[in-house]
Amino acid sequence: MTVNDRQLFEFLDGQAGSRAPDYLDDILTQTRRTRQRPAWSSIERWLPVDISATRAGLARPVPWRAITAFVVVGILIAALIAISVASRQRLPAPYGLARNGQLLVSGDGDIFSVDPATGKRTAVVSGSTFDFGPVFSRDGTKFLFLRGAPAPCGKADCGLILAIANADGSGVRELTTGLPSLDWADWSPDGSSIAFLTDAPTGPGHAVEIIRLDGSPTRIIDVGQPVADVSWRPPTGEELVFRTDWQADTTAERGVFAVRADGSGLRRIPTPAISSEGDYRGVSLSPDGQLLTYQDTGAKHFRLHIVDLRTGADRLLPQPAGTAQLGAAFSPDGQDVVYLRWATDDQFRIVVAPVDGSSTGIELGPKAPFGDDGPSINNYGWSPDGTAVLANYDFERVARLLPIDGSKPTDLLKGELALATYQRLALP
Amino acid sequence: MQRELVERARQGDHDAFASLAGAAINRLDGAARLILRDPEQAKDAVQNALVRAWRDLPTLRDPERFDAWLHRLLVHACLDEVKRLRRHRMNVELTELDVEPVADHASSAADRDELERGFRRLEADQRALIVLHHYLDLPLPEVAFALRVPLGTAKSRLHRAVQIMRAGLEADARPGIEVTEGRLT
Repeated sequence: MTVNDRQLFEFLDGQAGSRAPDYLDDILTQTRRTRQRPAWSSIERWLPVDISATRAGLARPVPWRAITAFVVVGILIAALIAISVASRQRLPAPYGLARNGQLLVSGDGDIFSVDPATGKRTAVVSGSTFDFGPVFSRDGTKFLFLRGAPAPCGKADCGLILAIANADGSGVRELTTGLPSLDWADWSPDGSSIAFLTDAPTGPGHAVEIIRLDGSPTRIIDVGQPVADVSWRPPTGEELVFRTDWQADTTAERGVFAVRADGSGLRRIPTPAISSEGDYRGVSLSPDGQLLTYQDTGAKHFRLHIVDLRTGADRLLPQPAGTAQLGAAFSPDGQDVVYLRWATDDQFRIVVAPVDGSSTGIELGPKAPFGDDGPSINNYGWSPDGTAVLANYDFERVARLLPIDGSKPTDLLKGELALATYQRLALP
Repeated sequence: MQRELVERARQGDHDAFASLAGAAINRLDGAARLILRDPEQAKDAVQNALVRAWRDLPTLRDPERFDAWLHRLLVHACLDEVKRLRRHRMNVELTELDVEPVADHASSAADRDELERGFRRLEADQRALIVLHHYLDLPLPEVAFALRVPLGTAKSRLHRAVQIMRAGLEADARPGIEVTEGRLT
């Protein structure tokens, strides 16, 4: 006997039987007593925030306090001018290579400063609130983080509060009330604003909301369809780049788009026609804003594309047979990308590979399985100096530092929502 | 309609969840019985899957993916059941399902018996593949999503599972095969 699909279905249908289960009420009794998890407790919600492009330090030069009283006024003024200029120069440019500064890691609701060499950690934001997901501003003077909103609040999900603090943890300020749909967050290049995803005012899915730190009113940019993967376009941040989140609305036009921060100038970024449901996910831009990466599902597996926005040329990064590759982020110098490889053993690993496609790259750190809601390696990104990758290994609940020279990774902190961010400092 | 129910259930509306669960439980129970071949284990798996669905529903990013997500929870609840029994070193035997006679116009009783034997030869995860694709009629990308494997892996595993079933059926149907000095003649 040979078996065809129809016979197989009829066999399975017969075997499954047609009796209605009589235990639904038991289940509903149990669920009625079960408390739901808050939406933000899923690590997948914090997929690649651009860690490399967030943080920097304000390290002021030693003032010339020992100058003697004999120095003439003119020289003193000149020196003060020199100090002022030097101070400004010590802030790094918003994109590109920088020195590594302070390393912040969240875990179990607190945020710590961690010394990767010694493992010593110091609480930066702690207390009764549940705080996580620090992300340094590109100039490194402050960081944003997420705070579980106080419960009960009369709703099933009280949501998250977007908050900021100075680099040393002082001056904590809540920028929003509890937002159940708060997702993603990206600092503007000048550190004056934060773009994040929030409930679309009309229809399903997310819209982009921009909040200014000076307290001026927030702006919601609703482009008429659900959006995802929003970021400021380097190097000037004149535009925001995002993809349409068609899975939240199947009528959405699929593609990668750019729009000015005031909501004007919406335009489509040329990319090849889509071929499958996973196309245009994982949108990320190079530090010079000229290259864009996204993933599609290809014939069998996720593949990574690199698009040259100057020419429109689109090419695939090479990948070993049978593997899937997804979620790329450019290195600070724009020469490499870090991404996830899903290999034939069904395990994920971090890979660093050259943007020019000259090799399939090197694998870093331990393997990780598929998690409850997706890959169990999340929120990976580059150190400012481009020598290491920070990543969350959610199945181990650990934030890890992975040198790209292949040397031994460092476990930074273990705990729920263990997410790390590096401060950028100006190059000497 | 379902999207609205999912949205409401995500916001903590238990009545909305009860409607979703009521609409899904027949097919979940059927699928679990096929994967586990044991009605009591199937009941436990469905219960675990639905309780987890309620608990984690607020974390579901896309309400349109509710069905696919629920199928994934079910498959993993089934595989967890298999692991749990293995851990307790219980002798898990594939039992005959207590199935009510169902009219079968396409296959003879003999064919059905052969299919039953072929199906029994499969491991639980292989049965899950067959059930997701051929019983729940999920397209392969959804099967891959449910099983947390790449699409290519899902395709090759499904092909392999069907091959195993076919090989068993063909072996059952082939008369008089003798094994001589390790070779089939």
